[in-house]
Amino acid sequence: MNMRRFVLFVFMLIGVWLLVLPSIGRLPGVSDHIQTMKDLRIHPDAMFYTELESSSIRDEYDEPMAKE
Amino acid sequence: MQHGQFFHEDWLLISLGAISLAIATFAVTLEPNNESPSGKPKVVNHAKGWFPKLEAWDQDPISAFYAKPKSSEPYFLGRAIFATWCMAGLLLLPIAVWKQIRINSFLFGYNLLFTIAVLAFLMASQSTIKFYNLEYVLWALVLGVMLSNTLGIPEVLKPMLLGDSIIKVALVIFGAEVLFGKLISLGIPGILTSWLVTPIVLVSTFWFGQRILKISSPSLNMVISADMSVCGVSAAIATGAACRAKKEEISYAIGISLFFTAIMMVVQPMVVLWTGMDKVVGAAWMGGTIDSTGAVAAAGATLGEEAATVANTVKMIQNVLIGVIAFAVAAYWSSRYGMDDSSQRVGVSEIWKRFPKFVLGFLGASMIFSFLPYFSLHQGIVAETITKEITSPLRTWLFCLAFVAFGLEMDMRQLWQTLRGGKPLTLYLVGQAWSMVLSLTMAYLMFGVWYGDKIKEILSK
Repeated sequence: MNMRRFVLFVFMLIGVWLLVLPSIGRLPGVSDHIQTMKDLRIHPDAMFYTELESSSIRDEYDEPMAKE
Repeated sequence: MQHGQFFHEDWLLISLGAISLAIATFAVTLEPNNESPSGKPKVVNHAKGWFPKLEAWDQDPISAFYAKPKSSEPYFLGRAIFATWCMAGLLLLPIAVWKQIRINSFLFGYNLLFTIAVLAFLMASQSTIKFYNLEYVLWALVLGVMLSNTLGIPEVLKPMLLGDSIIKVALVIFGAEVLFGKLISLGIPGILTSWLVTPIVLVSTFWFGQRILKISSPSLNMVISADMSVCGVSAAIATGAACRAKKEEISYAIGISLFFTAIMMVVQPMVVLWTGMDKVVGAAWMGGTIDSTGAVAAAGATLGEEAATVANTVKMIQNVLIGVIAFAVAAYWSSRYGMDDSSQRVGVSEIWKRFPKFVLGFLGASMIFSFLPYFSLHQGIVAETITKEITSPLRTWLFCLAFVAFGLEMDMRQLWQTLRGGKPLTLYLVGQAWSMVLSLTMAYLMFGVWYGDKIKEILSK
């Protein structure tokens, strides 16, 4: 058991996720990419395979309606 | 409890997957819709929101636990996470009973796995990570490896490292999402681009790995070839299970796929634009080469709506191959390689004995959801609601739990032995380059030359 290494790793993760990644997210090219994805409502997760019939997906919290 | 040879564990796992799909099916109902002028019923999901997806967050991780629906106020996902904890726990309980795991091991192990899974989703939801497609499976592995290599694994936890079993249940459930109806969306050009290139790349890459690179582990070779040629993470998991690949091998294949997918998602659309390539051809090319469906969606969207439609559809047609490939790999492996990876050829009964039975559950779910009339009611909205809102989120949580377990079990020395010499990376790079050349050629012929006009007609509808 190496408690010191564990604590170091936890602090590193916290530092990267709370400080480094938000900073990277504010860089011009990166923030443009993120905003474009948000505007198009793209979910880049590969969780779903049947979700996308066009470039955008419907809000997952909307009630599904039978197609007319 | 003695288990006879007749009842293989896979039958229990198939049953659990089938029960989950049955519950999901009954949870979605068709109800009268008095607001609709045509009188068509409304699809209602009584299990909506049971399996939550954390929201994207930038600097405040707590905000990830508050759902932000478009049409109502934000709300806390605590109840939904608790529901997931209950459902996943109920799925794992029969497996624990089957394996005669003590109750204290089950409770401690399951709660630890679940807590780490929540953390993995939280890490994956950070905006920069999320929108560059660095998925939860990567963080599940990282957290598991970190814990096992620092604090170690207590004896009470070890029996609950059930990654293999959880993966198989998740794959049976996943079968419902692989719909053969997608094959006809784009017709012949889509099928030829997806279904001709993929097996050629898979088989030739595997051959290259075995004969030229002489990779010592055939299963590692197969997993890398599959995840690169079919569809990334899920293909790696399905074929990995089918060929009994080691956890380290599946994890490596997924890691390398995610890394290069994030790059290709950004670079390939740029290549299409800089070279002045026809966007529909470029989209078909991206759909056939970028490993993950989500990354294809992101890349396709940068070229416009028509291109996005083509890219996504080519990818989905390719995804249908997962079941076929998993079955073919399972059959090949059962006949060619024994449990000890020997190359002794065997008879039919031995092939059946070695065949990973869960693949039948996967294919069965796919067939039922593809062809049973109920699921195609109202242009497939019933099947879409069941899979998108229930089975897909459930399957995602199960994958995450499985990869946490894999990470906790991972032997870094074994992984290093596997990767020594850089052959797996070389295999991926050579195979991906080959896939890109072949896919571009096929995309150009199908979407540019032979069927270009027909595709434009389909897209204009």
